[in-house]
Amino acid sequence: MAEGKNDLLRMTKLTLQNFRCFEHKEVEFSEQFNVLVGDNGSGKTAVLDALAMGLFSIVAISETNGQTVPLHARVSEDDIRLISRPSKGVPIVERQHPARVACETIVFDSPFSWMVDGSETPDERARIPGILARDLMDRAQQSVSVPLPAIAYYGTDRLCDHSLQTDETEGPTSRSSGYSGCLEALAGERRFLPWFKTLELAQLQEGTELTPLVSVKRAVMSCLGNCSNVFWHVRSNELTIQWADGSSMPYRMLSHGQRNMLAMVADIAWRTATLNPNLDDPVAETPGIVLIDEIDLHLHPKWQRRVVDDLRRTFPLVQFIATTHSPFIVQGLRPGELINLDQSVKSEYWKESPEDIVEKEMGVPLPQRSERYQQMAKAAEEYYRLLRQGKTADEDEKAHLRARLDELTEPFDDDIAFSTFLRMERLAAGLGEVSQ
Amino acid sequence: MRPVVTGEPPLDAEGCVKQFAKYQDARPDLLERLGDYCSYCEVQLDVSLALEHVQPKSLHPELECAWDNLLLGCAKCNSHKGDDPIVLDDYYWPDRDNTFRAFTYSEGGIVSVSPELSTDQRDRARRTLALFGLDEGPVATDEGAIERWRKRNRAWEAAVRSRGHLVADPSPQMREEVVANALGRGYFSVWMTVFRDDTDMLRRFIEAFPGTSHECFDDDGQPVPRPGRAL
Repeated sequence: MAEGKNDLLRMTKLTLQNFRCFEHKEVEFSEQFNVLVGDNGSGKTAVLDALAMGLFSIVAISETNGQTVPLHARVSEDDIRLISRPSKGVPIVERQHPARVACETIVFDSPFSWMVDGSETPDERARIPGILARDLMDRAQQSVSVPLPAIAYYGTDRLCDHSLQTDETEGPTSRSSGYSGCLEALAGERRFLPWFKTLELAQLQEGTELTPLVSVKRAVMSCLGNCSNVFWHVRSNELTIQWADGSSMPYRMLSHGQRNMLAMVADIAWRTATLNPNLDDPVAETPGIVLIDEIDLHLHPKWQRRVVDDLRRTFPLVQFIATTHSPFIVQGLRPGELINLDQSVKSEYWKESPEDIVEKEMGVPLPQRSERYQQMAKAAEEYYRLLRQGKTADEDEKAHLRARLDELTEPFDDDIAFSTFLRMERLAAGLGEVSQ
Repeated sequence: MRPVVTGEPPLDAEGCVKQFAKYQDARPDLLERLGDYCSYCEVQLDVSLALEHVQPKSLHPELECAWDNLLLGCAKCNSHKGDDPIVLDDYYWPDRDNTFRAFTYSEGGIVSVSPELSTDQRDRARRTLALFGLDEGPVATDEGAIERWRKRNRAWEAAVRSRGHLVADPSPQMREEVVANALGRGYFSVWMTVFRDDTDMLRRFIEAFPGTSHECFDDDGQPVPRPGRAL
């Protein structure tokens, strides 16, 4: 969390009991980015679904425009863990009770925890999110300077929502409409497109910049890269991207990956702007929780590498909880941000290669290292052995081995300036390029 | 191994000794005192530098947040040391002894036990190297070991090269450049060894690396016994 900002809403821990595949599972979350990895069936999506369920009551009251009857989430029958045991040779499937989802959060700098279970009549603890939601809405209604946290869930079906309704504009809405459909797990182009068009036209008509629109545009451009403008093209009546080289392209013509990325970023951005239109830069100043299933969906590895940093930079106060199968995503993480559902290790990844991540963090053995790396490793061993001999070592042999090591090391070296320098020296010394 | 001073426990804004709720909270203070270097192998690291419990926190939960039980460690030294019980007097420690006297650094960045020590001292120094695996060289099958040695080797090469630059241009500016290079790479002991005949540079390194124990060196930058300590 940035200095001086209220810790408005943040998930610290989730405890699952008899939920889907988990008998008992505790997951702790870091403040900004969290990425869940694990084998298929290890429960990554189950964790996101549980979080969405936990957040439901906060959003539900808001959706009813502040009505005082909060809706309660319930663990449905299908979410209860099943075990099958043979009984006299006949397998019997039994649901395990109690099934519970417990959330521990920080709300307005104070810890709050609550629980969702399968019962129809929620107990005291289940009422907490509803009370919190009411409190949030009350504060927000009394003072426009109290931000509402953004909450959104993007599932793997997010690209299937292609019901574009670009012709429409929309009338004035309340701040809480920023929660509409936010836990449906769809990126909802259909929500931000009419919003975008309305504000763009209003801006043109009124001739003044509208802060929320500027903020959302900035977010989209920041995440698209190489993009100089995003605007509603009035004549062709569609969202249009203008690239840095001057060319432009309608939104619908973007690749699946880019479009997916843009839709998600724009949807989060649109929600922050709707929830907190009064802030100078709602995108940068709105806290919240965003869940993303398979964050790498359809993204080229080049994009996978930057998506975490893009989201982190664009939405600095939002806590992200995502899943992935991609080592390129894991590479962009900081310590404590990777949650491995197969094992409980936390380490550092950004200096690891995708091969290392695949092998060490994702448990897929890669017996063959690159040929060149093997050569480098062998040269290092030989050189070290010679150095160990101290003064008795042959100087020519030492120089030769050192040059060979330097050259073989080059592709693995992060110290580019130094390795370039070494190459120049090798050439000057007549050692030339070492044959492979 | 650079001898360091972690100093008195840090104080909060009111002047009271800081109580760390979790040991990770001590990290910024320790980084400020010691710089971003592994206390054992001396590598410069950024975010991946972890807090190191001299007495493992698993065996001594009461020392988990104790200031004088904390140092900074890279993943390699940390994992090498593991969670075994530690008898302090079996090893030399950078915040207690003049660990610079315990080891010699030679061509290519090889670390070994100093031949100037007594037999008992040599055993203790050898145990210290083994505790962190600092006596190990590159092994073709162990990428971590290769990287670890290669970095120290690189520092040695850079130091030798810098010494050459100073011969060509012994200006104060060039001296500052060399210090900046050393700070960026880490491996204090490597730089102190390569420049052992250049008193001015030795003083600069001792001054520039945060938290270096000044009482472990004389005015000429040569190592001296740490007062009241084992070495």
